[in-house]
Amino acid sequence: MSTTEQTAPLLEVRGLSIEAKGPDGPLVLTEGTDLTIRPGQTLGLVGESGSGKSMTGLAMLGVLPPSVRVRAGQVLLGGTDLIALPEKELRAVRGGRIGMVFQEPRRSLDPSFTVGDQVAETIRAHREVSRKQARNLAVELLDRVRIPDPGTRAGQYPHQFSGGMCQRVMLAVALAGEPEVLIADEPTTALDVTVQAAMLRLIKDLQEELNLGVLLITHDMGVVAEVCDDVAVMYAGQVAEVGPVRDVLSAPRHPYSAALRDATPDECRRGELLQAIPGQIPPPSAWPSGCRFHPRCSLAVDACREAAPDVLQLGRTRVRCARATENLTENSANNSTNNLTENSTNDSTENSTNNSAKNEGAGHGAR
Amino acid sequence: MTADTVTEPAPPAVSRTPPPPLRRRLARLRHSRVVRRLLTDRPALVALVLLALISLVAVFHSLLEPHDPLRQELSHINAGPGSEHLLGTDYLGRDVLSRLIEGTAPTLWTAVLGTLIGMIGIPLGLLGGYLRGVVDGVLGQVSDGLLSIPPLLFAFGIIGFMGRSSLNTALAVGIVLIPRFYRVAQTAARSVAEELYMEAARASGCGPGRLLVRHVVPNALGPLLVQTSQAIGVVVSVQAGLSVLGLGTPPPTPTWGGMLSDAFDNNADQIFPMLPSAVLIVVLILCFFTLGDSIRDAYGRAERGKK
Amino acid sequence: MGRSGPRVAGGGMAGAALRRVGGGMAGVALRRVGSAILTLLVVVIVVFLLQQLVPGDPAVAVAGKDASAELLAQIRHQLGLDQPFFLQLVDYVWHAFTFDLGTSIQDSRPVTEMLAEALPVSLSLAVVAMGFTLVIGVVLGTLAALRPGSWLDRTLVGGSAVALAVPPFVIGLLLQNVFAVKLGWLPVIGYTAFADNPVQWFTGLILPGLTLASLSSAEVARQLRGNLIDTREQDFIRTLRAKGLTWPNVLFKHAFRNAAAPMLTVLGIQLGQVIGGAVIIEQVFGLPGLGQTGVTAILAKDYPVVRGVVLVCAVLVIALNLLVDLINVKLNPRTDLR
Repeated sequence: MSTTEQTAPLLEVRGLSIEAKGPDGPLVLTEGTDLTIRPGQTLGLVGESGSGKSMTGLAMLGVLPPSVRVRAGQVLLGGTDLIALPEKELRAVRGGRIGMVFQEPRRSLDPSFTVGDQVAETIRAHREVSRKQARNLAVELLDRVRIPDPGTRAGQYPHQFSGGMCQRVMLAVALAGEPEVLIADEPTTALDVTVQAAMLRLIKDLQEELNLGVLLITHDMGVVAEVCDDVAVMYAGQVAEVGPVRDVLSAPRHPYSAALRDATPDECRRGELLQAIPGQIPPPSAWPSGCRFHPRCSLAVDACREAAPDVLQLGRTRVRCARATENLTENSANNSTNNLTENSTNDSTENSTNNSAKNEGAGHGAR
Repeated sequence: MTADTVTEPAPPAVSRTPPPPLRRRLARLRHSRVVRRLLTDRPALVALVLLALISLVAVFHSLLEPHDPLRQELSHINAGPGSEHLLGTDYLGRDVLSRLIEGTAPTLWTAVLGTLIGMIGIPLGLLGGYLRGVVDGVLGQVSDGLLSIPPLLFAFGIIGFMGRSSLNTALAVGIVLIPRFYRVAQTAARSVAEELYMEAARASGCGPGRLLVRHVVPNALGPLLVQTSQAIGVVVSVQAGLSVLGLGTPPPTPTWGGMLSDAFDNNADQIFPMLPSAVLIVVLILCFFTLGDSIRDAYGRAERGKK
Repeated sequence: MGRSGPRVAGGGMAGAALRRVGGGMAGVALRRVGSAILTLLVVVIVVFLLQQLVPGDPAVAVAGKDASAELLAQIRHQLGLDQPFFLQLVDYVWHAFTFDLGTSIQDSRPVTEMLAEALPVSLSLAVVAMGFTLVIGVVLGTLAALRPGSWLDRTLVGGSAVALAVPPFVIGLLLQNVFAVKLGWLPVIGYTAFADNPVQWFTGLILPGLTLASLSSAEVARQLRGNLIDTREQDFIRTLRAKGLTWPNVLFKHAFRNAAAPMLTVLGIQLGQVIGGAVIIEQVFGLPGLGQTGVTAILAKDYPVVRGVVLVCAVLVIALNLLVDLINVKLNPRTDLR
């Protein structure tokens, strides 16, 4: 798979902090998040629920819930800071330059309008086209996200669609404004396992067709391994580790990344026990001092409890762990070899499927 | 005492008093919590106090009336408020305050009686909801039909055939309320009947009567209390409405609705004569509605607190 | 998926058969019509049974104790009392469905003719009242929902609870006194037909209309507010924002559309209230509608007319509720899943 460095960043998140109104003053939800999304590449933002990954996605579009707001930081899209952008200009970005797909496809579509209307509405919000043109474009888009018989389906309501089909509609809505960036917030979580793979492949194919930069928010390391180029691991409102997927998965520098990987069925060899991470992610009101992961970390030392670790640049990855430079676990070393081989096989199969899909996509494009 | 007489009654005594089923105990606990919640709810307290006051007035009316409510003083008609007649006199020179006090009991009495008659719908609803099938189908259809006749109009029609009297007023509003009580009881009974513990109770040989009384009724109590409270308010409103139409309790017995109607018919260009009775009617209805809302809230919170 | 056309049950209109009618909007609509007809049948029977409530012999009640035997026999015939009970019932139901409600004892005119004269007055009042209800209710409800917790919102929520407790005729009496008697801005009583003078028609209906609307508009506003606030919290609103729609677009197109269906149901219930309340409000404002016809008939013990008034009002309520239901089926694409 491609490497990270060559292309210029499309979307950059710098030092993003988000806070929520709490009963006892503002509550910090995320802190100092730095992310970079490049055209044609996929950044995975992975973490347990409550780590702040979804809020980060919402903040990038300025669609945070009413009680939540950005405290500091920038979201740079081609040089403009979206956080500082007035609402009117931001609206052109939403659905225009950045499209977004949400976790619950059925609840994310308006039940009272046909799916065709909902796609066409987005087209008309961002492009100067007539009602009729928008309608035709909507059918084309539905076809593009591989909804069979799009002409008929455009006239149906969301409740007449399965979850997977709804998510395809959501994708069509997200792509309606011809965006450069796609933010997908847990796009497969609510779907049947059988549909998940197809959905991921579709996102991947569309990305290659349109050279999209994709931010894929997920809790599933398996998904990350399958489709992402880079990965940012989030824990308790902070990015714990960020770097190329291959590096992070084969030799995780942060104990949390390692633990997440080992807790993923895909990454665990058959017959081996799945490693659960002890304890739970604390709520934002109860984040520990020092390293936020230390209460759950098997490698924690006194230093981890006392001081918050700095971010270290190690090769192509950045890590927020005081002990990242020590070559830590045998466990991870062991696994890394396994993973390398697994990954490479994964890569090859995926490439071949990608290729065939691409041909298909080209066919669609030619029509 | 012989050993026989001691041992004989013992086994039934044991089987007759099993520990109360868990659900029942929970229900009892919830009800006490509901009462506590009600007592900390300010609007509910105000309503309760006002209702208590109104009831006291109804009971001790003869002690409180400054004048004979029926005595006409034709030289003093339509007088404004003054030291002799605190709220003035009506079109026949009768003391308004005394008539209001005298009218409290009939007003309340009709309201309560009407609601009691309406409660015939409760056992019907419990049966319908519990038995389902044809019984529920027929009763449900009938109650739907009755519900589609506007309440005031229905009462109006009933009075039209039965004739005017305070008893008939109560009967009319009572009949109007029956389908409303039926609906509430039926819904509650049906939702309880679907619960698993009902299955268990049925399997352990509980008869339908016992099931209804021990399981369905305690669980339907909340919604029924809410409905009762609102129903009394509706009755007061309908009763007053009938009076305004000239179809309420016939004179000379004073009722608040009747007094409002008299003031309107005989003194329509003045606003003050209508106010005392109108205000009392509104306050009485408001008390019952507030109480109903508070009971619903208290039950709602108790349900939520349980989870 | 989900495209099975309506399978129309073989002719039968009975409830059970109707319930088996398949999904699809036409099926749902057909089911609603069927249940409305059933309800109507129940109402007709109930209205018939009302006469059983008359203490003693209805003919004696009408004609008085000293009436001659011939007169009593004639009245008995007029009331259908000379037939066996069951036949009376069948006869009444049959005639009711063929728009024959008997003859007025007082006026010796067909009841339907009298009702036809009074109906436009009552309908005018209902239409004006519903118009006020919609305008006031929607405006207040939207304003309150835009800023939950604002003074307007709190006034509305508190005020509607109080408004519910105020019987409409009390409001009517007060409005009449202030605006018509004291200020003289509007006519106190009386009705002008629309065809004669539309302006006077309307001015005469402003006060009674507002009276009836006071309660229902509070209820509509409260419901709309709740629905709008609920809708605002739904996931799809976030999608709409994320795809770059403007707030007015999100609110007026999407949130409104989704809040409309439950609000229509409320509107239907309010219609029933308005028609019921109209009976008494007509009396207050001297409008010669169904209510007045009914009161006159009651005082004269003109039983066929009383029955007719109750029946016509109930039919109106059922018909309007059916209409609301059908619009709801159309508005809410998910109805056919229920």
